[in-house]
Amino acid sequence: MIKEPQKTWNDGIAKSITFIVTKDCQLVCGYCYLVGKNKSERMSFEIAQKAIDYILTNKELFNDEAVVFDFIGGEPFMEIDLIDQVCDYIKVKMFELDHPWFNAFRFNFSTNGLMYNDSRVQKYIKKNASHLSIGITIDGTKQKHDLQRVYPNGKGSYDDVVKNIPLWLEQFSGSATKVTIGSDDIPYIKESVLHLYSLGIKDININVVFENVWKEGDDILFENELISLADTILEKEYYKDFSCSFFSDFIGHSLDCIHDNQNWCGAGRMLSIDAAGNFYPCTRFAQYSLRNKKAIIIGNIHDGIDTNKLRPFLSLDRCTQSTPECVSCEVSSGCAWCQGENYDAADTRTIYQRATAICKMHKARVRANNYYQNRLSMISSKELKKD
Amino acid sequence: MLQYLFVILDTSADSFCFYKNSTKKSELIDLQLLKDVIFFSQKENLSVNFLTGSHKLPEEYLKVMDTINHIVISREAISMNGNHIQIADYNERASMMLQRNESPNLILRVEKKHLPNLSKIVDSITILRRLSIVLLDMDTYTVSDLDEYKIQLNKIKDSYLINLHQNHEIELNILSDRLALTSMNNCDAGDKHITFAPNGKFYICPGFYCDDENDSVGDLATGLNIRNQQLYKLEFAPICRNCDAFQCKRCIYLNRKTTLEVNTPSHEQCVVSHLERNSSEELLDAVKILIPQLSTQSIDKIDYLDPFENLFKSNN
Repeated sequence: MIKEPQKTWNDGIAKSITFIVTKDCQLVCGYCYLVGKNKSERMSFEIAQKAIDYILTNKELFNDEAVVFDFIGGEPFMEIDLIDQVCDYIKVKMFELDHPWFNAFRFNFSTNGLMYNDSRVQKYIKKNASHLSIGITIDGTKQKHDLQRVYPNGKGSYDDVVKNIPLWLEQFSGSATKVTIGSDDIPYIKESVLHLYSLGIKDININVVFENVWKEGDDILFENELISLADTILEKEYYKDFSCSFFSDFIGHSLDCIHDNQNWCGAGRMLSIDAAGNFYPCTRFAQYSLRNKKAIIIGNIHDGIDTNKLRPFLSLDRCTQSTPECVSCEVSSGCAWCQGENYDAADTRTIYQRATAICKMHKARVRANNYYQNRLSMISSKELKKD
Repeated sequence: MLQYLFVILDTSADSFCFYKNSTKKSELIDLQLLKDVIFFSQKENLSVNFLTGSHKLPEEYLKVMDTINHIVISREAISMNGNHIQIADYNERASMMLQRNESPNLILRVEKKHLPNLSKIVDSITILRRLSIVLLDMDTYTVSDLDEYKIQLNKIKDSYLINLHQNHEIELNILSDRLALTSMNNCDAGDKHITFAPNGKFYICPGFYCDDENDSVGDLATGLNIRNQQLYKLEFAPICRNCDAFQCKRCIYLNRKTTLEVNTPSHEQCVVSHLERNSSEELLDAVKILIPQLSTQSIDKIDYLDPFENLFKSNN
């Protein structure tokens, strides 16, 4: 038996609506793409209320079967009182409007975990438990985690996060964590994934950053690290109970421009709202996420969504935005991109130029994954014969 | 591949398209710069269109212009060596002038407030050969404006047929162009044409220059530098590449203004073009009898006005 990664709730049919409740965070992580974090831009209840009214009363624009209300920051739990009030308002409003989402909604959080045991957060969790998913970001071993995820004074945050993991797993059994890998993190991948398994986290969603941070030789180091991780997962039979998203039978195949032309990214299909009441196709297009480009604002709570500004996002396909090398790449499946990073790194003000900084890293991942899948297949067939 | 170059001779050069030129101060291009850009055009094998403004062109400029085959696009009904396309912005004052129009090739820019009179305006103009209508404010058209445009196109279609029966065959961009086209014939700024401005820099089109002088794509000294140039090509426009509203302007300037991407048209631009396309489709059978060259042409019946809706459905 090989463990399948846990599926996202109502993936593909749920609208994602993100409230950027604060641009403040207790940490200053090395790889964080939020370049414009600040303490002043905090969402007010009135702004959130107007956004909710607009969304819930415009059913022709928001006609998805289900909805996930995401709360992000900075660190969202820094605004737990506001979030509690907003969630109450959403529930009441959906009930009053007899909205189809009343029976198909979820509140979702990605948190650094520092405030997880805060009494107000715990009260909120108990109140909304049946409609809640929470992911705590922990990057692996103390050494790996504290390499990036640090307080402004340089102190690592591992000890303050790890103490909350047992409570989190007790309340949300089967939860996954998200691990981000930059150039300096490569030597710690194996021990970090195994460490997270040892904490009881069974699904590890792990990815390399899309930004152009990679140094000469990083791909070889990365490949070797993943092969070493693969050996341990196979030898210790962790594949039966745990998953790691670096390994998947989905990645490393060629794709064509007719049948496999979908855009990877969901920007434009989701909606983000900031403290000023502006709408974005995804949080990554808000100004605090962009190094080089102006924000792409697609409307606001007063005037609604300018649907013309959504058209480029919703008509975007894989091949139109990809380089000829990407289009003809024989191992292109699973090679991801972030539309916001594409836009930020592009030569012009466009979302139609794919950033290719991860090319070598993807190819290294494919080689390691091929090794893993080949060995796993041999193991599986031997097990089948035994049975 | 670049084929055309628009050369703006005067900072106040009249707009012949959707953009607005709000520059009040009239300054002519430097004479040496004009010579240099003509030299560039000769080397690159580009056809030249000169855009003029309120400044009367000195004789020495006219002589330099005549060193290359060209078209002049201007508001003035001037007679020059080479071809001339006249521009007019429709208003009540201009209507008398238009009734006496002697330009064989007229670009008429019509504001939204005149839309309910569009068919009467078209009827009132003495069209010698070709009339090109530019619908200003198209980006602000509402559903009722689009409905009105459909009504006006129907009326224009009826008049066009009457004229045709009277052996008066004219070209009308919003109606007759589609009849003969078998592939896209669009704006193509950035792909087939670019613009040279009096400041010595190249721009995607005059609209890009008028909106932001810093938005240039090179100069004569450093050459052209159109980054992401593939995005100006039809095959890199997902909504347009399978579309058959072949007469559509597919205005690159309006695309960027309304959707922020040069390869993506607005809903309004798509609907306007499909209303025109559908009028042509309704006209085609009647026209085939009178114009034998069109006998093999066909335009399919379709049930949509915005191809984005089809694309969105297939992507989801």
